[in-house]
Formats: sequence, structure tokens, C-alpha cells
Amino acid sequence: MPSATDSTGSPDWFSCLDRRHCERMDVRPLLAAGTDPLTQILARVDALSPGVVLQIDAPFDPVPLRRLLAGRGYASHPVRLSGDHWQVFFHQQAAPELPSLAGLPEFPLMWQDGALDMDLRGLMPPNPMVAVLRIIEGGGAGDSFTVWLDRDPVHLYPELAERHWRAEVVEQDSDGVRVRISKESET
Amino acid sequence: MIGRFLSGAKNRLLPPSVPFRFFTAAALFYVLFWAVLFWKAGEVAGYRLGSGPVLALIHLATLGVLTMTVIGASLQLLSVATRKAFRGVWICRLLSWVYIPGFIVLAYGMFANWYPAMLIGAGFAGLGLLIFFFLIIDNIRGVRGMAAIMAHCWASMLFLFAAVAIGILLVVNLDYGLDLDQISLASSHFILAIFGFMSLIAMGFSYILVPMFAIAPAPSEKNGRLSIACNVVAIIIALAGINSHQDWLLMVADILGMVGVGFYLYGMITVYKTRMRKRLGTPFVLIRVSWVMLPLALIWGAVGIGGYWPQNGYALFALLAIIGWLLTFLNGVLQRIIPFLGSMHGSNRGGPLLASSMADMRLFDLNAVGHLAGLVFVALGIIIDNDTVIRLGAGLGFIGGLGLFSYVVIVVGLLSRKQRESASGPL
Repeated sequence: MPSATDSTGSPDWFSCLDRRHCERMDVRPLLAAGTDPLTQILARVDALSPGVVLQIDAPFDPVPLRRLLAGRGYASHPVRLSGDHWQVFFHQQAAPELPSLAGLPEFPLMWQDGALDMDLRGLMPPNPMVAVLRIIEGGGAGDSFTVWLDRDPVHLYPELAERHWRAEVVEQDSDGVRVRISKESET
Repeated sequence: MIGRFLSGAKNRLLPPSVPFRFFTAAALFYVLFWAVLFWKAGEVAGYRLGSGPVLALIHLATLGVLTMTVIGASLQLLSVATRKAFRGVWICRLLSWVYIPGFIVLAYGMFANWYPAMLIGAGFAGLGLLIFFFLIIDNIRGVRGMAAIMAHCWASMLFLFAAVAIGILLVVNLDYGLDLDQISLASSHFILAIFGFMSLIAMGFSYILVPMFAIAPAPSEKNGRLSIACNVVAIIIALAGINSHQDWLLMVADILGMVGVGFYLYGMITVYKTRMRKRLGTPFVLIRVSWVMLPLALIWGAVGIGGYWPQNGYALFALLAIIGWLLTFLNGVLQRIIPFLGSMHGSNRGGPLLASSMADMRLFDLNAVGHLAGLVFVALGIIIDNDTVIRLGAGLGFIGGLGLFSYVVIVVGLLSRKQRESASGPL
């Protein structure tokens, strides 16, 4: 979800940022010692208070980390201070509004790690299929979301293929299957 | 890539040869139905009771087309809905080996007035239906949720059981002269088979299939429960009315049946209004016509119970119920389900097999036009008692039947080729 930017190209939330209130983490010593700082960064992210911005000092622009945290709902903005010193700011975005699914029975629906997650177990068929297709056609869930279903959604596959989406079973137990539904890549 | 994701789905589906042997047989008997109607058009309008070509004709439609389709669709889709696999693919195959030849012998026996053949055919077809009965009961036992649909399945299976028992009794009565009331038995058999078994299972599956085809929320469970309750009580009252010769009971049953059908149609109209798929195509033209024919059959039934039927009233009632409602509805369902199953079974690593790439979809248009024209002309021929008009309708229906049969044969051929290719693949 793109953020609004000011005239300098910085996002609004960064332009208004009071850096004294940022939580700082310098990963350069860890990297210099040959340690991957990812686990520690994620632990800091998990412990972050609502509204607090995380500032990470790194020797490069950590694009994979920024992508990872974007998936969890964090916007980021990198600032290059010198050739081997970058500061990257991570700001948790407000969770987007939940899509409206009028006409369907109520079911658990939430944003989790930046992605929509729905529990469609117990719904009478074909309501789970209708819910998934409404989400896709409404465009409110981005390019990927997950659903819990009672059963392997055999009737959904042709409908997804027709819309250039795909489904992948990511978890399966006696209570049902968890399916990731995502847009087919252009390639 | 898609093939990999479909693999889970494919594992839940029976091998394509199982449902498609029933669908192919149904499409073949559908063509034969119109051919026999064309041939014996002169005997249709005045038919009331007894063995002969018209009895064979009725059973070509009911056991040959409708039941065959119901078996194929149930075996393929019910296990997906209930999440319970059927008790072995070999039982499903055995069912086809017993039922299909049994039905052919029965139909020939009826056509030729050859009672021993009727008895043997009825025995095998009845055994096949009992296998089907136990397969379905075993599959739906203890299923959580979908109460209205399960109630439809239970009721239709119990009525099937009773219809088979009475059907065999009818044949034995004809063969051995047991001095049973043949008219009451035949009428009970008709009500149990057409409204008890076939209509209830068609309505029950509608609650899943119609919203699935139209991509719409399922109708309310309460609606389905009210519908099945009214319909089951109506059928029981109708049986009581037939066997006690009380017309007022038949009228109560008919009115209650109309209420039950009203609940069903209200649910279907709700689905139709809330659908996401705006262009539903030819299959839904047929399905919507069938939704008009069902209440029309009940209204015409009430006219008959009131004693206002003209000379050919019974034939018109059978036509509205069997061709107008059931055959039209199942033609619409077949037009959606065959491409879907073909797509499911025919997908491979290259992606899903699109319905339009399997065969020319205009074959379905031909089927729909032929079927509806056949319905109209045969009805008109019965009303004005004109054999030529009935024959014209049968001819048009036959051409439409060839459209459906051709599509099924092309899809079966394609799936067979794909199966051979995958068996002799590069690895």
C-alpha cells in the first residue's frame, strides 16, 4: 500500500518524524562480526510499541528486510548517510479496513502480518468460494491472502485459474486446510 | 504449475471413467428417448397405464437419463462436499456394471412387453439402485453441517428405496398376476420416483450447485429445511391419498407440495439475484425454464385432482414433470458440470483445460434449442392430440440430444487421450 509523499519524495510519516522518539538498533557491529542480525531485528519489531518508529543503522540498504517487514505492514524509508552507512526507518502502518462481505454469514477475518487471513471453516458451500472470489474481485486484499477451509477447494481452482490467481495448500490438519491464494506472477 | 495445485483436488475426485460412464450413458439414453418418442409418437398422448413402448419411454427418461445423471453427479461431487471418500472405487464400478445393463434389459422388456426380461432387468437395475442407496447412505451418515442438503439426500434415498420396491412389485404383479391394485401401485411408484427421489435430490443438490455455478451466497438453511419438510409431508399424504382413493388428500398434498416448491424457488431466486457471475449462459436458460415447469406441473396436477383434466391430461402432467422440470433442469446441470469435470480431470502441467477448448460450446446451444423446442411441440401435440406435432417435437429434441451426446463423447475422447499421454509421459 503506497504512502503519501512530500515534495522531497519522503513519505509524510517520515517528514513529520521526531527522530528523538525512534527506537534505534545498529546492526553494523553484528554484521562485522559475521552474525546475521535478522532474528534480533524481528524480535525488536515484535516488541515495538504501537506508533514507535524503528531506526536501523546498516552498512547497506537492506532491501530484503524491507520487503519482509512490508509483508507485516511496515512502511520503510532509507536514508544514505555515507557510502557504508544507511539509516532505515520502519513505521507500522494502520491496518487497512476489512473488506465488506455483505450477504455472507459472519466469519473470522483479520489482518495478520500485513496479509488478510480468513477462517471460512463451517460455512455452507459454496459460501467459502464466494467469499474468496469477492475478496479477489473487490481488490481489498492485495496480491495474496490466506484462508482456512474445511476441505480441499476443488471447485475454486478453475475459478481462480480463470482470474489468473492460484491456490497453494500451506497447512493441513484434521480441522481443515490453510490455503494461500495469490495472484499469478506476470512471468 | 496449476496442475500441481490441482493435484490435491484431483485426489478427492473419483477417476473420470466412473462419473463419465454414467454421463455418457445418460446422454445416449437421452438421444434414444427422443428417437423412441419420434417412432411411437402415436401412442403417447392417450397413454394411461401398462407396459409397452410408452412405459419404456418414461423409464428411458427417468432411469436412463435422470437417475444415470444423478448417480454420476452424486458419486463425483458428494464425497467432496461431505469430505468422506466413497467406500471403494470398485463398488462404484460394480454399480455401473449392474445398473446400466440391468436398465437396458428392463427398458427392452417394457418396450417389447416381454415380462421375463422386465423381471430380470428390474432385478439388476433394482440391485444397482440398492448399491447406490447404500453408497450414498454410507457417505452422508454422520456428516456435520449442511442439514438441509443432507435432509434432502436422506429423504430422496428413502423414497428411492420405496420406489424400487414398488417398481419390482409392479413387474412381479404383471408377470405373475398377484391381483394387486396396479393403478394405485403405479401411481405410488410415479410419485415416489419423480417427486420423492428425483425431484428431492435435484432440489437438494440445487442448494450447492446453483450458487456454485452462479457464484452467489448459499440460500438460507431455514429455507431449505422448510422446503424439504413440506415436500416430504406432501409426498406421504399423496401416497395416503392414492392408496385410500381420497382425492382431497391428494389435493392437500399438491398444495403442500406447492408451498415446499415455493420455498425452494424463493431460495433459488435469492441466489439468482445475488450472483456475482452476471452472464450465466445457456445452462441457466434451461434451469430457469425448469423452475417454471415445476410449479406448472403441480398446478396442472391440482387441475387433474379437481377432475378438470381433458382427455390427455395425464400425459401432459407426466410431460411437465419429467421433461419440463426434471429433464430440463438436469440438461442445464449437465451443461455446466461436464465442462467443469472435464476441466478438473483434464488439467495438466500446461494449465487448466478450458471448457471452450474441449469442444464446440455451440453444441450446448443446439442441445438447449432442440430440448426446449421439443418440449413445446410435444406439449402442443398432446394438448391438440396431434401425432405429427408430437413427432416434430421429438425430432427437434433428437437433434438437440445429438448436440449433448456429441459434446460428452468429445470430452470423454479428450480425457482418454490425456490419460494415455500421461501414462506414457516422458518420465
